[in-house]
Amino acid sequence: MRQIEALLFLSPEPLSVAALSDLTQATPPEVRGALAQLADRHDHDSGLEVAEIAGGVALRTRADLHEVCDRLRERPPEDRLSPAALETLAVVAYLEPVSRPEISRLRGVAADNTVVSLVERGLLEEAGRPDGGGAVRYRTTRAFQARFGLRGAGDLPSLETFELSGPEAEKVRERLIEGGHLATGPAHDA
Amino acid sequence: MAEPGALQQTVDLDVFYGPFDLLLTLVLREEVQLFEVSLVDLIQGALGDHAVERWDLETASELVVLLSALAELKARQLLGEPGEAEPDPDAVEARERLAARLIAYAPFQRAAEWLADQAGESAGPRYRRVPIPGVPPPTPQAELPASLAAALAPLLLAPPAPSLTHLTSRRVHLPSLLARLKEQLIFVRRLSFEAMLGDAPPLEEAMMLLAALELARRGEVTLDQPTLFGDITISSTRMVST
Repeated sequence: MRQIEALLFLSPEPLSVAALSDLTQATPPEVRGALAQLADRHDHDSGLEVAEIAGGVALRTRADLHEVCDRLRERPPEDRLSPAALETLAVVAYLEPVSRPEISRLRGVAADNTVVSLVERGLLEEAGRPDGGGAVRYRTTRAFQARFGLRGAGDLPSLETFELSGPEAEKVRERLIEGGHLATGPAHDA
Repeated sequence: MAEPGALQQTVDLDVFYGPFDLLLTLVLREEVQLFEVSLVDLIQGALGDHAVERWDLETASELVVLLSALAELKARQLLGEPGEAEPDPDAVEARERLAARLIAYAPFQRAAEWLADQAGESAGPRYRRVPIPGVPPPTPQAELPASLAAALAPLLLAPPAPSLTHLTSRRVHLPSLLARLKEQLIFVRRLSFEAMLGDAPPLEEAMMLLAALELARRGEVTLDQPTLFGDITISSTRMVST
């Protein structure tokens, strides 16, 4: 456990169980056991916590200490993501690998510039082309997982949980189809 | 000034293929249903890649205004306006399709909101940032060395030499043509160039002309061409022994 704690303290990247197993010569179950003990040791009274993130395990400061931590070192400028960028990330995260034309078709607007910007920010990366040829496809990166606190690729709630309920979908449909001529005015009164 | 034919450039959509200005005319005359026109494809086709090379500022500005007007018109048709009369069946059908798309896309919008919440919750913890000297960067996800090697291997192979079997190698030797010409002149004093060659290919015809010129240079024959581009008579200068 002490070895693993030292390695997590030293590493700037999350370390996978396999990497910890290689470095410590311990079996993966032993590593997992040691990580559980380490997490218990770094409980709420500790300034650090063991977090499973971006395909590995990291030792990080607790969220409530961010103010004092930022006094030690300057926090990088906030990199805000627009709603369009967040929606594009959501599409890629659930459908990856997915191409720009496919994203544009689903979103109903051109996604080229947004995808380029997300690639430049390191949140998306190219994932090759389909075997039969076609547009370059994209997938999310480990930086994406780290930014959104995900344990790894696919660590997302099921897309079904976000679907509109029957009444919600019916409300959208009614608003669009009948909203124009029934909302107000004579047609509505009639 | 617009580039000549800038507005006549071809747009390729599901419902229309032809010049851009014709599409605008047909939309305004309602001969092409605006519901069926994908504005994304239209804008990408008009202003997409290499737009700077194809459009000057003035024309591009006019185009943006036109496309904006189309977008507004389509939005009004799709969404309707308060107090509008009963919409026509096409409008209702288009609104049904739009509603279906919005309902299908809604989960991704909600997922985006969830991501935004996650980003807020994940903004608190701080990580080590300083990389350790000498530590190699982490292996890229999913790209194992073996699969990378398999992908690169075909690129390292020399491409096969192109096959020339379908080409016919045709060689014509000047000495053999010289011998052939001299041989024919043993039996006759005069030869018609055209009659001698018949339907011979142009290469053989040219080489035979060179052979005749060579014999003329040696003084063994004289050449006579009464008309320009006409037949050439090759006459032997050898004295006929009786």
